[in-house]
Amino acid sequence: MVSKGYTYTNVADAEAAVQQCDTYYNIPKSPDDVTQHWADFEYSVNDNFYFILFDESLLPILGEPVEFEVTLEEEI
Amino acid sequence: MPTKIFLNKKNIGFNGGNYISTQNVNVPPLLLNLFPGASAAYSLRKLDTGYAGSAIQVRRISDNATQNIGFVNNVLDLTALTTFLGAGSGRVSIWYDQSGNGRNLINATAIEQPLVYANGPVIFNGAPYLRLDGVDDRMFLAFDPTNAGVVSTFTVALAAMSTLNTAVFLQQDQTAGSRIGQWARFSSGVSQSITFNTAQTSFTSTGTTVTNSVPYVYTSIRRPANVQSYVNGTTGGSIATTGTPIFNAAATVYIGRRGTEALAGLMSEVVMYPLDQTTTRAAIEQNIRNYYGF
Repeated sequence: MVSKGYTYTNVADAEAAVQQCDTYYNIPKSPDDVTQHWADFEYSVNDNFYFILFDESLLPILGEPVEFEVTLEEEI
Repeated sequence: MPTKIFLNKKNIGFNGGNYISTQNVNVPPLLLNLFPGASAAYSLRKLDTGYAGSAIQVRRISDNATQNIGFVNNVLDLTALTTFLGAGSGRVSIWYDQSGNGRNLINATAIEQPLVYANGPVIFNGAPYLRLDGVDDRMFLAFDPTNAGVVSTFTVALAAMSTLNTAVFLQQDQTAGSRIGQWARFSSGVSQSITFNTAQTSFTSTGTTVTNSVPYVYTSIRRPANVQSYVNGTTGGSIATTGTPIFNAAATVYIGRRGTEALAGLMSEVVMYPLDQTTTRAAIEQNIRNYYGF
C-alpha cells in the first residue's frame, strides 16, 4: 500500500522529527494533557523503516512529503 | 404556545413558523438499558440512562485547550460544543466508555484524533458523527472486549472514499507476528469480519457489498465455532474457524485504522458485548437504525 509522509532509517531521527512538531505546536499544553504529541511515528517491521503519515500541518516543519510503500503483516 | 411536531425520530419543530431543530431524538429506554452487558460502548448519543459521564473530551485545535462534552436530551450537547469551539475546529482526545467498565478510548497524538467539529458540528442525517481522515485517525485502548473469544460488535460507520479501498474500523491484534484477534473492515467495497486463530491463520467472512457514502450498522459476531458479519441486518455469511482465537487483555483495540489501512468517513457508535448476541442482534440493530435514521 502506497502512503505519503516522511520516512526515517533510525528511531532517533523519527523521534527528533516528532519533537520538532511538538515544539512548533506547543504540545503538550500541560504535562497532564491526554494529547502529548502533535504527530507520531510508526515502524514497518517488514520494511525496516520508521514513518510519519502525512498531514498538512506538518508541511511547515517537515517539508514536502514523499510517497513510500508499507508492507502490512499478513495481507489478506 | 410553541408547537413541536415529532416525525420519524426527528425533532422537527415549528414555533410561529420558525425552524427549531432537526436533531435526532434518543428516547428512553436507551440501548444499554434494553440490552445491557456491554464490555465497551462508545457513542455520541447516551446509551444508558444511568450513565452520568461525558460523551467525549474535545481538544480545541486553535489553542489545544480541552473540554468534556456531555449530553442534552440523551444526545451530544451541541450547544456546549459550539460554545467551546465557535468558528474553530475540534478533535476528540477521549471517547468515553458508557458501559461502566471505564474503557475510554484515547489518542495522545493530535493529528490522529478524529474531528468532531469544523466551524460547526460534524452532522449527518441529523446525528453527530466523528470524521476520520483516512490517513492516520484512530482511537484505541488495550483491553479484551470478549468472553473467551466470544464477542458481538455493532459499529455505525460511513465510508466516504473515492473507491472503497481496504479500511479497518475495528481491530484487535496481538503483538506483531502473533495475530490472534479480530478485525471488522471493508475491502474492495465488501464488508468483512475476520478472525485469527492461534496459528495466525485468517478466516474471512464472505461479506456484504456496501455503498460509498452511505451509513450502515456493521455487526460482527464471533462465536466459538465461527464468525458472522451483517450489514444493516443482512448477513454476509459465516465462516467456520479452526483453532481457538486467544484474546489478550494486553492487546490493543483500535477503532478507525490498522497501520496504513484507514477509514475515511464517519463513525458515531461502537458497542461491544462479550456475548453471542444472535438472538437479540436484530433488535439491537433496529434500535441503532431508528436513531440514526437509516
